[in-house]
Amino acid sequence: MSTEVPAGFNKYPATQLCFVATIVVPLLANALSYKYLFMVRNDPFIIEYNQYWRFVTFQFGALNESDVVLLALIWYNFRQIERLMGSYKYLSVISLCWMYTTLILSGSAVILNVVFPWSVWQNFPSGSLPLVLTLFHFYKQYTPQIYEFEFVFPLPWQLQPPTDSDITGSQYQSLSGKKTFKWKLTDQFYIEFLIVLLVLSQGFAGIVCGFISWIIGVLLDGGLLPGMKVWRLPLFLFSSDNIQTHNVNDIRNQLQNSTEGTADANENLDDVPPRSLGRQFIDTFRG
Amino acid sequence: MNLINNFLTSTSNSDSPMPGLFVENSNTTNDAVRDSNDIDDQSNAIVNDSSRNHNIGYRIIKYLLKLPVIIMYFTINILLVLIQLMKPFRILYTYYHKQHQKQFNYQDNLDMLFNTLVKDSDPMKSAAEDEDHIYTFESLYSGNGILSSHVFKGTYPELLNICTEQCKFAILYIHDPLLDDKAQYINDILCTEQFVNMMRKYQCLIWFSDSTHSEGLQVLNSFKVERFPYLGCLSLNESFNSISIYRLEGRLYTWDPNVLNNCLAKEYQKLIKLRQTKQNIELQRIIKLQQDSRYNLSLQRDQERERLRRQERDLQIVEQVRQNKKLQWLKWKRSTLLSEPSDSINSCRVAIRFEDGSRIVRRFDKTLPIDEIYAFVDASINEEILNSYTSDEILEPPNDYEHQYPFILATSVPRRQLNPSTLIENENSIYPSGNIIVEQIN
Repeated sequence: MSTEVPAGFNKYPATQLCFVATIVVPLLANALSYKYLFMVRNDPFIIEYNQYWRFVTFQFGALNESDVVLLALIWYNFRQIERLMGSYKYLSVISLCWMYTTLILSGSAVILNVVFPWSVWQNFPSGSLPLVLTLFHFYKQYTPQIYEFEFVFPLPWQLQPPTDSDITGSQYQSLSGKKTFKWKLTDQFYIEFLIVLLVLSQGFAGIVCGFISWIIGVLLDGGLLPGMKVWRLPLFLFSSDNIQTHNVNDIRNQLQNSTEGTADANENLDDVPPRSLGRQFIDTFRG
Repeated sequence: MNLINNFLTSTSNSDSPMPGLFVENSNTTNDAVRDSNDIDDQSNAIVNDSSRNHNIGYRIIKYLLKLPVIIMYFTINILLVLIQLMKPFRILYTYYHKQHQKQFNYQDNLDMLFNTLVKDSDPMKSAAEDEDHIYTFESLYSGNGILSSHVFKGTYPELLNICTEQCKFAILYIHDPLLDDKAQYINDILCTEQFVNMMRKYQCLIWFSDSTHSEGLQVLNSFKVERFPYLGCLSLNESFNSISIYRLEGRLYTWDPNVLNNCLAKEYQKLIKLRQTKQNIELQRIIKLQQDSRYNLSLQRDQERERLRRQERDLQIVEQVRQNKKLQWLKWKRSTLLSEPSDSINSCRVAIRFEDGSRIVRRFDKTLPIDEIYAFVDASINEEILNSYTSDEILEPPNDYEHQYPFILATSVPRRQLNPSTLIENENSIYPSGNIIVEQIN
């Protein structure tokens, strides 16, 4: 029994797209000095210049290299969602989530800043943090937990600082009976850790926007925000791909089944496992 | 030197209770001989000063080491207190946890899965389309469905165990509730007539699970399934390990039941062979068990026989020894027999009648016990044996041997047994004369 999602992007084009875009777009922007396209600040850009298009673009490129790395890792781990939903539905959900987060975040920022004119909402997170947080709900909701483990800490602040005479076995035994602080982690702790890092690294804006985005995810999944069942990207975008995947999928299934059938028959013939090139090379010298 | 100077100035104007007090004392008391003891003093001073310096250094190191630990202690304390204060936010943390806890029970989850599958599979559609779709999921798999006896309602390891034990195919279907057309496999594969026929023909076990359930996901991961849903078929190889012989994953465009049928047909021959091997192994095991038990039985019998033989031989040896001793005793006893007295005054005259009808008349000394007559009779019975040995050797009574006469002597009329220990002269029935009958004891 394995806990690993199959590695690689082969069957996950949506994940591949997001992963590559997360890395390539900031790189290109940096190289071509278009980084300013992905930056939103309330004070000069929105209030003074009315550049509302920045709300649309800010999720496409992260400004920090650490954010780029974290986002890329998270997107890679999110291939489990694509595995569950299928590429087409996953892309549709991503687009839906992007629309909701953009609308709600920018809308609430604009409204807040109109109501409170001293610009309470100045900063926005960079990169696809809101989108990722929305999808994080889907990840947690539909990925079952396979195992869990626990850290147990004794609570030090409840104890007197032990003097020399106190350090005896009986003392510590009596201490261990006291309340302890347990920290339970599951097999998904890696992605949780990445998400926490991402949110914390972007400061207060990251925490607030992350939380709002997560709520959007919950509401979307619960059906309070409409669109999960109805919204799909127009099929003509994928029509050529679809046929390809159709054929490939069929051929692959057939091939797999036919080879698996014959693989067993050949098993008796060559019991010796195939040697790798390096092995062959070394074996010639071993004599 | 500087250190020593420092020390000297400090000692001269200080009465500190610092370590090295004895040097100070020597300074005050032995002031006169101080110059002469200069070397000693210097050495003392060095020792003293270095210990003081060491003490200060120790303190500094102690504080330096303590400081970060104290800072760390309070930082961690504050952190943990903050975490404690964040307790209301644990709702966020445990938001998904409760839901996942529910999934640990496989049986409940299976019932839920069946309900959703019944709901998802579209009976109207499948009934309406063509003749192939004459079944619904409900009529096939749940309750008293046609294939409900084929549905295995256990965990995956249990399924593997059953398959290995009974040498059966296992069909795995792992449902994905998140897909757009989630009932595709159900309607297009699981509820078709060909599939049902195949299942009944090859006696497959069907196992259902859910990709959002822990067990299902583990199976999917172990088969490295890249797209959902998943339909797989497991068979056994020669060493009774389960292998995947057929897999179908991802969106279904066309499904050819013949591929699965061919796979199953091909593997079924192997499976039958495996069943036979398994039966053979079982049969051989039973035969071996029987052989073992029989062998043990005969071995036991042999051992018993051997034991009896040994016992018999031992008895023979003991008997032989006894016979030898008896012979020795008889020889010795004969040698002790007194010769027949000539006079008739101090003797009794008895007629001894043996069992074979022969008769001996002999005189015995009256002062002897009747035992003498017993010994005489015994000697005359065994006369032939005794005569075959030479009587040259020195005769002694054998050790650890008590002779039992194999006969009794009795008077004829009235019949009375004669006691070997009484003296002849005290026995009226034979003294001065009488008849004695020898009676063998059986």
